[in-house]
Formats: sequence, C-alpha cells, structure tokens
Amino acid sequence: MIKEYSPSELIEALNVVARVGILMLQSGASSFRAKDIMDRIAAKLAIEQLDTFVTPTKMIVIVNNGQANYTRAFKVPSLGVNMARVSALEVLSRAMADSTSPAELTKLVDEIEQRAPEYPRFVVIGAVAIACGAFAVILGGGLPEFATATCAAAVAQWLRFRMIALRLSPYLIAATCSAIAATISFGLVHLLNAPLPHLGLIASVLLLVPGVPLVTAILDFMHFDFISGMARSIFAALILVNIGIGMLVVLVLTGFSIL
Amino acid sequence: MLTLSDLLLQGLLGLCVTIGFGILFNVPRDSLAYGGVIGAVGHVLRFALRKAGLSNEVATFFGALAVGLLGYWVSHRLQSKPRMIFTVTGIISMVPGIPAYEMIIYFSHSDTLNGIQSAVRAVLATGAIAAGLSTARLLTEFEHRE
Repeated sequence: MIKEYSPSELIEALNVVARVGILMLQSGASSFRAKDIMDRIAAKLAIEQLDTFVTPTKMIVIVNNGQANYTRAFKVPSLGVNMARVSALEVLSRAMADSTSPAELTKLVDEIEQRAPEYPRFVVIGAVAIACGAFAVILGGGLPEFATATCAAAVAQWLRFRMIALRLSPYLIAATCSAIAATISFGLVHLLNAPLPHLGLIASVLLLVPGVPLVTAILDFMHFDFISGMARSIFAALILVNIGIGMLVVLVLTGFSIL
Repeated sequence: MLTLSDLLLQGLLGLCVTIGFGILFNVPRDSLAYGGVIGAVGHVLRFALRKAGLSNEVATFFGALAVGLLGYWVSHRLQSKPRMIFTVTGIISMVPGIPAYEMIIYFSHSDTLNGIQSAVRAVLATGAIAAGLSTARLLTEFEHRE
C-alpha cells in the first residue's frame, strides 16, 4: 500500500530515513544492517520505492513515490560505537506503527539521538581499565602487570574522552593515547619491578584496538558488501598503524623492547 | 594440565574483558550480563582448546563459533536485541591486537621476516574469527540475504 505524500513530506521522509541510516553507521553498525533498517522504515512509511547506496562514510538515498522522485547524498560525520543506540533504532524500526508520519518519526529519532550514555564516564574509564588489566593476566602477567595496565589504560581512556570531545582526528587520538599509555606503563613496570614488563605495556594499549570496525568489516564481507568491508578494514588498519606509531615513539626514546 | 581453577580464572578474566568493552561500547544495561557470559564462554573455550594442543587459529575458530551461536540464541530469546550487541562484544577478547603491534615494532627494527610472520598471524586469527562467525550465521540463517 502506498501513501500519498506531498513533495515536502516526501523530502522529510527521505531525510529521516537517511538519518536513521547515518546514526546506525555512526554507532558502529555494519552497512547491511543500516540498509536493512532503512528499508524496513521506508516500508512502514509506505514509500513506493527506496533505493540506497551505503558505504561507511557516504550514503546515497533515492525515494520514488508516484510521480515524485528525490535523491540526496549524505556524508557520515564520524565513526564511533554506541550499541544502545543501534538497539534502540532497531526496536523503533520494528515497533513503529504503520500510520507514523515522517514528522512523528523525526521526533522519535531525535529522542533516541539525544539519549544520555548508559554509563557515566568514570564507570567507563574504570571498566575499560580493568578489562586491559585482565588482558595483561590473560597474556601471562601477574599482579604488577595487571596494576600497570589498569592504571595506564585508565589515563588513556580519560584522555580519549577529552580528545573525542575536542573533535580531533581518530588517527591523532589513537597515536596520542597509545604514546601516553606506553609512557605511563613504562614508568610503572619499572616502579613495580614487574617480571614481564612488556605484557603490562602491550595490555595498556589494547583499549585502542579497533575491534568493532574489524568485526563489522568481516560482517560486511559476509554479506557481499565488499566496498564497505574494504573501507572498514582499511580504517581499522590505519588506526592500528597509528597506535603502533604512538607506542614506537616511546619505545625508541626509552630503548625499551616489548618483543 | 588444565585445572578447574585455571578455567574459572580464565572465565573471570574473559568476563572482565567483555563487560569492560561492553561498557565502552555503551551496550544497553539489560544486555550487558548476557554479553559478558557469552564472551567468557568463548574465551574459556578458546583457552581450553589451545591448552589441549590445538593451534591458535583453530581454537579461535571454535571460540568465535560459540560466540556466534550463543549470540544468536540470546538475541532470539530476548527479542528485539540485535545479535551484533552480543557477538561483536563477545569476540573482542579474540581480536589479534598483539600480533598487529608486534608487526609494527618488527618492521621498525627492519626485521622484515618476523614482521611478516606477525602480520600473517594477525591475518589468520582475523580469518578464524570471520570463519567462526560466518559458520554460526550459516547454521542459523538459512536463506540468502540479497
């Protein structure tokens, strides 16, 4: 069943569908999932035909309804991870009534976008720090390595929050945070006389590993979306290189080896 | 030798890692514990298989397969929770960050041979994750998506 839309309503429908897709990509969803949710919402809005071309950084959306036809190209501003948002948008796309108008949907999406994070910052910093400490133990370290990785990762995560708030480049953030984490853990492993100093240092930068882009790249490849998969793999690889550069600067300056 | 206390410790560590990264990824509160347990199970399975003498890649494959299947099961039971919340967080402890760093350090020392070796290990471990997750998907999603 197709709904009659005025031109302005149809443009609004296009915009809100695209916004949901952009929010999904920004929150760490794979491209096929962003496309799925846009298709589902277009069906609920009873748009005759929606065509999308989705990559992790750019998106083209075309709507056809009766005689009217609109096309827009969007840029995805930044890539992050926010699973609660992915989940909320997924729920919205399934639960919204068929009679929802584009304007009503825009309000619902606004509300989801403005939701506060699930956890306060200090909880995130603590949780990430302990996760890195646990990694040090998984790798074979003991208490000194755990303490080193935990402290250094906590500072790195705090710094990452500050740098994200300043809207700095992800590459710069990765390199700076890894340099700071490496410096702190270099100091701590010597202070604590850790028997396996390299483990403390390696574990302290693991919070920066781009796990979500790597896994979503795999998911994109599995769904035959090679363009998105390649784009995400290269993004993840470049982040890894920048983490390596940050770490390397400290290792070269201190003469410390993690091998 | 694989002891029960080893497995319990690894389970606890896997739980810490998965929940820690789950919080970083802003996983909804009501899904956090499920994701943590899935990640812990995957990690313990991988650890036990490696202890049993299997290669890292094979162990990672089975760990990722377990995460994929459990993620499907839980997202199916909880309804309206995308599977990604559980699988992407659960897989984090297996992402080969260390070989990737090693590669960069070796290359910086002009040690190309060891650098390539680390790179291959990183790629193979990523491939094992991909194979495990896709096998789980193929086992649970029969129709081909266009």
